[in-house]
Amino acid sequence: MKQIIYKVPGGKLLKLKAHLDGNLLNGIEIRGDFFMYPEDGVMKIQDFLVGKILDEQFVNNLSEFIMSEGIEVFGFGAQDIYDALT
Amino acid sequence: MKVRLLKTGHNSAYYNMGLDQALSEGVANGGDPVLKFYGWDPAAISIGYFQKMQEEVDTSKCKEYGIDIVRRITGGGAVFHDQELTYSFMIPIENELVRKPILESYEDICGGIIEGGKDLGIDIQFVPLNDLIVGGKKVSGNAQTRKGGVILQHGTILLSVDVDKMFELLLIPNEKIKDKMIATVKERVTSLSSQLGREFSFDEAVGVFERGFKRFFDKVEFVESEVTDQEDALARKYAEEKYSNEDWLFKM
Repeated sequence: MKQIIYKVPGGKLLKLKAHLDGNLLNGIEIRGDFFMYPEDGVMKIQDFLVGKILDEQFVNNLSEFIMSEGIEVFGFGAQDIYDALT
Repeated sequence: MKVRLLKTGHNSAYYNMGLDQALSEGVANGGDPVLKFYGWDPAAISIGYFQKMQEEVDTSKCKEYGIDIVRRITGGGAVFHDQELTYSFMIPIENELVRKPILESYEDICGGIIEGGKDLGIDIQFVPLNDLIVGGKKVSGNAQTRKGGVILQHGTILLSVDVDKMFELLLIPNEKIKDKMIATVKERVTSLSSQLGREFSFDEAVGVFERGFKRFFDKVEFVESEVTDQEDALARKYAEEKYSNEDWLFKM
């Protein structure tokens, strides 16, 4: 398990715990001083990311998921999760 | 339109957060919107909903100093609640007093604080998403959640600030840069006392920001009110069963 602290450029401080197998994400905990509406969106995002590959689709897929679920995030974006993990 | 105005004085972190929840639920059940002013006794550290206590707070140091630790239902970062005025504002999302989108609603509710600053000759500005600054320095942090169709926004207005003590209580990811971080925070944070060049008291602040909210929301009748026995009982229940409960404090 990898612990990552990532300062989002112009944003908040992301604290991630990631189970990575190469570029395969087996699990992730997303913490930090961000805001998310509704708050339980963070669980949905964590669940969505299980089994995802850190490839060129990752950011788009995650962005689309966040939008389709009607989750609003302030302080980081899909790209920041990718950048923190890679 | 009426807004209930509550001045609940200084209470424990657990009661303060329990009362915020109890009052929000009252608004969700059709009660009038609420503006509440309060403080913290003992002083306390609150962390954001998405933070983990063990990662953010030196809990044994807090215990040694008699400082409460609490986790909020709102996002955002860790806050040392000491010499500050705290407010909570609860209003239905559908109420036209506050715009619906999240960013705009933060700005609208912060309007009462900005207006209060004018009384003091202090030019407070809103910086999205959730900060208020004076001359580029943070003087107030705000956090909002939305539940049951109700916006709960609470925020702190710094009366004076002890950055060194705050850093004794918070855990820093990298101890090596601690001194640098303290110096940076001292440069970036200010308080009303330091802006005014004199001691600015809690009671004075309540008066100033009460007038600020009244002027900013000038179509509203603010009705001074008391916490009902029922609300108090519910707040105590939440304080005991939720906010001071280790499952809540250390979960995430």
